Amino acid sequence: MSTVTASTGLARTVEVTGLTKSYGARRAVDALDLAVGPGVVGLLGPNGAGKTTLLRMLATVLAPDTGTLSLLGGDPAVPSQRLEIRRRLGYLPQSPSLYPSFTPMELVDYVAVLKEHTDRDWRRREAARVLEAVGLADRMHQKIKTLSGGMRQRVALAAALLGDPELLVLDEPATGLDPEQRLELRALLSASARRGTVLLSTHNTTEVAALCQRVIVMRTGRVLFHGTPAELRDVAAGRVWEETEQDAGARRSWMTAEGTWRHLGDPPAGATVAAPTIDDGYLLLAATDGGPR
Amino acid sequence: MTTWHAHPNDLAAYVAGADDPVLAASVETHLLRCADCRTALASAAGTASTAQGGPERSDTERRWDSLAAVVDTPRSAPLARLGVSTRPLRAAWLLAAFLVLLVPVVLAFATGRPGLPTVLLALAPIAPSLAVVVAYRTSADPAGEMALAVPVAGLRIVSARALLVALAAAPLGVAAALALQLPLAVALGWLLPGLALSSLVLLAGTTRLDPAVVAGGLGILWALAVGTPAASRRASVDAVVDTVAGAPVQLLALAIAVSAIALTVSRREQIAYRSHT
Repeated sequence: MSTVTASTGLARTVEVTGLTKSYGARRAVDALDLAVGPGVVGLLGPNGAGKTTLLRMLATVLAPDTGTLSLLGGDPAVPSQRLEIRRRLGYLPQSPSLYPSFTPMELVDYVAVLKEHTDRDWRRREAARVLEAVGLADRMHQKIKTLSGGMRQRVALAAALLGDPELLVLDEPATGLDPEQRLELRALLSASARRGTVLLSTHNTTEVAALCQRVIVMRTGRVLFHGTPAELRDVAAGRVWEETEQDAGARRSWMTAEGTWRHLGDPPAGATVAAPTIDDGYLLLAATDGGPR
Repeated sequence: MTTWHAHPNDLAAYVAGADDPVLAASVETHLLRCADCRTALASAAGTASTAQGGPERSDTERRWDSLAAVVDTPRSAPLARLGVSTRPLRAAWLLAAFLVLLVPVVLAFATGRPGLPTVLLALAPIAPSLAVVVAYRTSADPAGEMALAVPVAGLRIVSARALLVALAAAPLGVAAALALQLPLAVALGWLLPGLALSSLVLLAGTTRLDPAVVAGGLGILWALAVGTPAASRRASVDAVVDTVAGAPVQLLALAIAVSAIALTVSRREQIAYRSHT
């Protein structure tokens, strides 16, 4: 069983015990324990690690096979509590399929209807606010099919941000965004984290370093690591070295842009140890757990 | 509680978006922990927006903007917005209409007009069950998977999507049958069997069974049960019509529909909180 301890001393917004979800014979999430407080929490892991399945369960889209789940103090298995959780939750799926003939304003307004907002004026103001927050103020009346992939992603993000949810569950929110838009996303999510918890999955360790207070590394449905980005970086402390030649004894090696070989593992005697990065920590963790070398 | 604070210049650069990504990330991280700096940031943001100013907007421009805002606001009829214009629902709509209208007519004319009532009774009830199949697909919703994480997610939203298609198919079928001068018993006789089939498909959605497979299986069984006796000349068309439109079959269909709907309502949790999607 993999265990993750509380991320902060503040109230926990997400608590998970023994969470398991299988698809046929394959266990996507395997007896996972997790406790998360306010702030931005990043989920890292290779494809198939179980990140999306975990996030779908945390978004109440998918019921677990076994285990208990507490979100914002409520149990999603209890209808009345699930209703309350969903009122306070924002969700961005991995591949949001938005109806292309709607405009961003229509789509966000529609999601607001689904979120039980009956006041039309409130919906208009709120839809305009979130679309402006994601940088789509000048595109809100344009058909979604005419928008770029990054813009569509931001439309879905705007819908997730409706009503300032206390728990934001975002599956790869930075997909399709250019570097400038990624920076804007960081500012936006940091602002959301002031009001609650933002849980996001990503493949980008730079994103984690810049945005997340806590990081969770998953592999084959289990948690390999939970800590701060600095602690993830320190996993590789003293275990990174660079040489001009490839080293067969290294757990992982790759050629850098400068033409030298960067190695992870146990450095040989006399090797010049290099300063680790979060990438090094993540790759070393994956390699140590039996990941690809 | 932190003992140091972000430099005012760094906060000003952050507000202006002029700092580098690493510094911005550092400022953001600090802001999350420091209420004093958040207050200072709010003040810096206020100053920046005053300083930026921008051209004075005229009364006409302001009025125009407020008029545009009113005009652009979606007139949200929630049921219509639930997916009346989405491609999967439109496709289901067309397919249902095709089943109810075109297939019976084409088959009846191909096999001889006397067979028309049987073909209609055999195929039309399948149309509304297709609507239910589509209603379970998240792609039928304009917001896709996001619609599964909202307070109204569940039976309400699935039923509304199914009704959107089924309610379109029913009047079409009845009107077409009457236009073809078919007896009232035929024009109305398929409605309750159609309701029974769609209710069973709706119920299947609360289990691990695939509603599409259930709809297909039930549809084939129904079509064979109604169509085979007349096609094989073991029974006359009139006898088939009398049987299907007769009280026993109609009451049985009603009982099945009511039971399936009641069971679905009692099992609605399986739709609201799915163990598979």
